[in-house]
Amino acid sequence: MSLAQARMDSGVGAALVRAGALILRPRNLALIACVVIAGWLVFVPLAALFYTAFTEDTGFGPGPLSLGNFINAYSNWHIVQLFGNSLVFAVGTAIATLVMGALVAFVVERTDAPLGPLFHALALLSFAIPGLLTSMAWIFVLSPNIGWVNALLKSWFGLAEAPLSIYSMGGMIWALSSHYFPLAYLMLGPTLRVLDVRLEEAALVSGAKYWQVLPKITLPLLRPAILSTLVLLFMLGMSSYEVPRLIGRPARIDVFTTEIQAAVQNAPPEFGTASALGMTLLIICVVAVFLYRQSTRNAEAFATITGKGYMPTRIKLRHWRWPVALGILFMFFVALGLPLLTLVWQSFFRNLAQPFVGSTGPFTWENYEFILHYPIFLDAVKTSVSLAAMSATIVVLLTFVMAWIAMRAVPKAGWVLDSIAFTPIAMPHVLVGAAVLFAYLMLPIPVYNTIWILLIAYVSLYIPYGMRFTSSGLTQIHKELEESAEVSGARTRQVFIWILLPLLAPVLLAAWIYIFVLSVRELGASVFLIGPGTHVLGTISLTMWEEGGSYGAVSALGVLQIVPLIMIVAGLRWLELRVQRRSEAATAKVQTGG
Amino acid sequence: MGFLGHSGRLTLAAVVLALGLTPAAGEQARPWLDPTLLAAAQKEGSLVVYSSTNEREGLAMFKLFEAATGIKVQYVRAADSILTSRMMIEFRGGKNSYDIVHMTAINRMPPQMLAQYEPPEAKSLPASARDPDRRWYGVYAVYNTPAYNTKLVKPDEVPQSYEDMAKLKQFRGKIAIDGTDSEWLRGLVIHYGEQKGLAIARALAANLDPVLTVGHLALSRSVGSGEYAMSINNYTNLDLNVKLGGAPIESFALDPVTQFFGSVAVNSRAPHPNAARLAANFMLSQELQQFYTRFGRPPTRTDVKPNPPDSLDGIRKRKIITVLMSGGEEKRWSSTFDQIFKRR
Repeated sequence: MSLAQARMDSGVGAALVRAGALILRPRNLALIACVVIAGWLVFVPLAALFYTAFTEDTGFGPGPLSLGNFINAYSNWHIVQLFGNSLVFAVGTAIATLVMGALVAFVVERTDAPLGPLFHALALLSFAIPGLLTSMAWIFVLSPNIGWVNALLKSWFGLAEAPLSIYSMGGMIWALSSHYFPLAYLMLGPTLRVLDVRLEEAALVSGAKYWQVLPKITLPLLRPAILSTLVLLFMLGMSSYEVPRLIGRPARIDVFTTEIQAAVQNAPPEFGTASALGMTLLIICVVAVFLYRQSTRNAEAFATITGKGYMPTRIKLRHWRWPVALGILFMFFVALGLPLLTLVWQSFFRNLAQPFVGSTGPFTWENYEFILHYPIFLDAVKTSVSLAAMSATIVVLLTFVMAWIAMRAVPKAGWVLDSIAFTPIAMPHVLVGAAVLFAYLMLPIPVYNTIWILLIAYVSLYIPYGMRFTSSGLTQIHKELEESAEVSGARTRQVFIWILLPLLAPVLLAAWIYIFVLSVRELGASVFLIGPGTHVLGTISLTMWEEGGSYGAVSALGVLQIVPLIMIVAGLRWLELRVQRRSEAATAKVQTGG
Repeated sequence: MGFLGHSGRLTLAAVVLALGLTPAAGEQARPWLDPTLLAAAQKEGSLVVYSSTNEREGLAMFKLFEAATGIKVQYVRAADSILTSRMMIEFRGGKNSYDIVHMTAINRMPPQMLAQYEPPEAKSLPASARDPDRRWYGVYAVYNTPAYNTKLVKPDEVPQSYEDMAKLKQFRGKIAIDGTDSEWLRGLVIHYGEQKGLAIARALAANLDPVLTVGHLALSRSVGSGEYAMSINNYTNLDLNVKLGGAPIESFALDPVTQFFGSVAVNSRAPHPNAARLAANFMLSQELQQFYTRFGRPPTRTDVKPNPPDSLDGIRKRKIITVLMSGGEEKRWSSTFDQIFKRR
């Protein structure tokens, strides 16, 4: 061997040894472990999606390689119409939801309008209502035939036809936006709370009006949070199922998920076709995340929590305080109060009962008796709450680390990690459930028919939500804070615990609460994975809807889910406020160098 | 199904007592309880049931079984399509989780998944409710009939045939049908012949512009609430349940009345095969089928009366056609249904 060769070999060897030593450092091992765990949880449903899409659907599972599923799925021109409807629905929902949520976030976090804590509590309350019930409630409110608001308007104004109809694209967008706008508020609120107002103040002092400052300074600073929220809302619209099923189908507006669900509802289900259709949602998801990362690649420009001192201030509305607050309250009443009132009212009658109009039967507590005596109801409550707490905790911790890796450790390739973490949102839950079932029946991991297979599915499903919350929050924190700590000798673990955690605590807690509520309501994946002794609330709701209950019983079940969730959320809200105060104190301490 | 109110339950109890159909008592003979099979099943100790029947009915039903045999039952409920998929994936994975399956889509399952077994109680079923290959047996009948809202449709507007129904243009856009009713379409074709049957279906679609709904119970509730004036087709017992709950809905029978079954079958790889066979025999027993009629499910046994006793009188005056499609046939007729009603 020549000297040059020996030097090269020793150079390569030394590099490998250094790389190995680097990987084996505890910090890096921990980071790699997080990525591997999260990657595995996302990989399983993704791999199953690809596998079933590109192989022949034998009924017993995937067969030989084949493009037959794509031919089945895409060979009819009708698919173009489905795609168009889905895009309109998703874009409309994303924009409407963002506008409503941003309005609430701005009023609550940036103005001195009263009732802020009430609006926050109402926002959390809205998540407690399952999507299936919200859609049903809006039909009772705005159906041209049986909607009580239409009945009132017709009688007040002497109209021959109902003036409003939920059975339209506008109705579908409204039904989903009214359900999701609190999510937009929860994502944008913490960002607005910590916005550095010095740039705005400088502009105002220089003579700009607030209506000039808003589009030129405030909104650009909020761009990462807005885009992150829009991406999530858009994908939620694309993958929504309950609104298209209950409202879109009678309105003759079919979307992508209607077709996917139709394929899955055949007996035996056509998973190959459903997966081939799901690939389109996946591609849209990846493109959306890529565009988001491209538009926020100069992250430092958006950082609002820096090493320099600042104090968030609120805009003084003066005599507009109460009118603005009441306007927001009215929006909550219309978006949240109407369906909730309808559900509560309906829960006391067996058949259709229209508030303020009339009912077809007597007032009764029977529906509540029916639910409370339903054989597996209490077991399902316990299982659902346990699963929800575990999945929310795991998701928040995992995505906290993953977001940091994507944005700090490997920023150039971060969009890959972000996309991978986000992809489960593009997969209908029923496909994720089937994929997890298939994978864990093949693997020698004994989780089938236990609570753990449900937990695996839930964590896989909700990683995208955690990622959106945490990456949005992390974008607002300038990396100079961590760099200062590291230069001063702090290890990564200490940076996470003493710098990032206090600053991100409000965002992490908001994410935890949201994922907790989503998990309690989860249905699509659970239908495949429940077993003897592991029933959940979502599947009971579906049983009531499909073959066990009257309108009253279904509504009573919804109300019974909402009430304990309100109590849990109220407790978490108290905790959130404490965390928020500590976070603000930590932020102020970091800024003043104290 | 099965959400009878307090007054409804009182009425049912009165009817049951009047007909002398008292609930099974501990001392009553149980012809389905084969002592040899029972001993073997008790050694196995438990039974896992996959079923599409809601837990309120299903768990109550299997409490009777537990009380009679001492065998613990674990019950998992899901829709037919989910159960079918789950069982097929388990079969491929070599996993044997369930002992018996009870749902309406059993006839579409691959035969190798179901054990060939003829429960002794099956001899009380009509031939149409028994698989000639001895793999499944009908526990309750599902009849397909239209229904109307009595506040929106006058008695003289109720059609006497599907051809008459297609002329009800005053209800255009206010009539609905479930988007998965391929059995009903197949029944129409069997009765009228393919050309005429499909022509009638096309006329219904073109003239009435029916709304396609998802879920048969949801359709019953929608007709009962007045969202739709009429359903072209639905499951009779669901409409009856909604009616017994106080809604203004009435089902009526037209030629043909398509019939299929909620059936029971034993897993060919049942982890507890003796308990499975005993449970299958139980489900075909007079005791179980009388119990099931409390929830409005029409029995398959000829020696058990339906509840209410006159609920099938109108249906029995019509031509009843049993439609039991294989997976391939179901796919073909679903596609035809979509072409006619979804216009694709």
